[in-house]
Amino acid sequence: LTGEQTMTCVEWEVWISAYHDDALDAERRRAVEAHLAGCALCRATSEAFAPIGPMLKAAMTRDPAPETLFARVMTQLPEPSSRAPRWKPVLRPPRGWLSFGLAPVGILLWLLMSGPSAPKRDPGTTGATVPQMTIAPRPGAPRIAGPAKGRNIAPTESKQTPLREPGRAAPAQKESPSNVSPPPAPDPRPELEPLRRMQQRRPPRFQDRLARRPGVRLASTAGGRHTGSARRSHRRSRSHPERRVRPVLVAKSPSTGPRIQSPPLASRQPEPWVTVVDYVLPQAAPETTVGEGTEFVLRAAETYAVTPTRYEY
Amino acid sequence: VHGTDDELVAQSLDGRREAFGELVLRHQKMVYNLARYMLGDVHAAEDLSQEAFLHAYRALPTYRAQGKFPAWLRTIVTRLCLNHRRDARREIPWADLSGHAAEVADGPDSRVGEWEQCRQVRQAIASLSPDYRDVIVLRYLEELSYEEMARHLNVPVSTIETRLHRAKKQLRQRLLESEGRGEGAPAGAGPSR
Repeated sequence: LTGEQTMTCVEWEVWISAYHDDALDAERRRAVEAHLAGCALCRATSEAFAPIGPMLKAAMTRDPAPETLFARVMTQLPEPSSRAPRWKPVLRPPRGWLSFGLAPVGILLWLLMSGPSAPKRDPGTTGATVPQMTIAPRPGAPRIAGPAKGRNIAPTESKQTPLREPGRAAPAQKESPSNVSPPPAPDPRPELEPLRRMQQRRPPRFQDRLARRPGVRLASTAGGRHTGSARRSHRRSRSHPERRVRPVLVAKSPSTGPRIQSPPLASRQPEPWVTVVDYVLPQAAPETTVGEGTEFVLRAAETYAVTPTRYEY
Repeated sequence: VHGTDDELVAQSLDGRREAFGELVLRHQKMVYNLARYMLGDVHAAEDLSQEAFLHAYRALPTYRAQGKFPAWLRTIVTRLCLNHRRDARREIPWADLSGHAAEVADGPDSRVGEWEQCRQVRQAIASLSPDYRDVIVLRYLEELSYEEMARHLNVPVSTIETRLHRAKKQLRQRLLESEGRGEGAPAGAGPSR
């Protein structure tokens, strides 16, 4: 070893101490043993240090932890719901239906176009004066792939038939208390049928996750917030507008539907809502064939609350 | 709730608080005693143990499941202790490491001498500077290797070697001084040179 021949006994003591802790490599161990064989002073030092370790181990016993410690820790733990999104992003958009790309936009356009041809409900059945249905974007909302801001998308018929949650009665007008809302209609609104079909085609895993998370909303109508990676991607995109390609998501199957959901009937949500997601293929790979494992890039995602009076997001 | 530490961590990440509670039950003794020996105060040790577990709970997503949860937790405790001690206002002289009197009252005579010896050794440890105390605790209580101690304390291995040697030298000297004052000779203090 370098410098071994010039080490003093005081310097050897450090190695002798480590020697008794069995912390030396083979080379230094042999050097210590060789030095001890020829140095009486260091042998005495070694004999003095030898019992220190066992004595310390015997003296440093572990006492039981205080009985209150466990309760103190458990009462201070944050609620699982508050930490779950950070640990496990269960709220990110399900990926199975992402391969639809611009299909949700088409759905919304279909709603625009199908309005005039929707069957007119019997005014005597509902007894309600139907307000106009508009899209009113929330101020400060990011770019969307949906209808233009404040655009009137409701045809003449939709003024008579407000879009509302299936099975729920139309709200009675305060000005005409004699109008009585009918019971939940067994015959749902035909213009909502595409939404219902899409809802039924949500991936089961997504629904299971939703069922296991009471109180978790998959998309928020209040405040127009997005959840999961979609919301974060918007923040990043806005902070770096020149870099629009943010989250890369993998489409699992092109056969699943877009994210069009409405709350369950028992929910307190008074309004159904629709999320329109716009995913495109990355520009860097235009030749990519859509299929299993195809990567898409989130371009826009917006949630619209469908109220009897208007679309709002 | 049962399973390995890594399985319990995974369950905790799924939101099962009882899984983390099991981890607390398993490791609270280690956490508490490490904090107690490093800080020298039972009350501060209990507070820091609680803080360590909460810190670990928040940091669980960063834990890599390699079957080394105790080592990961020990690192948290050690660093929290070092941070705690950096604040001079929190520096508390060791006063609570002499053991429990109940051990003496209930034990046979032979254990009285044993306990007295341990008490002297603990007092000698308490008289060490924090740096020396840390290496003694990590080596002889936690039984860490020199390399692990160096990682915990963020110092080179050579520094660990030097500190341990000097700590043991001081300990031996103080035990001999206790012997000279007639407080009883701890076995293993060895002859004075």
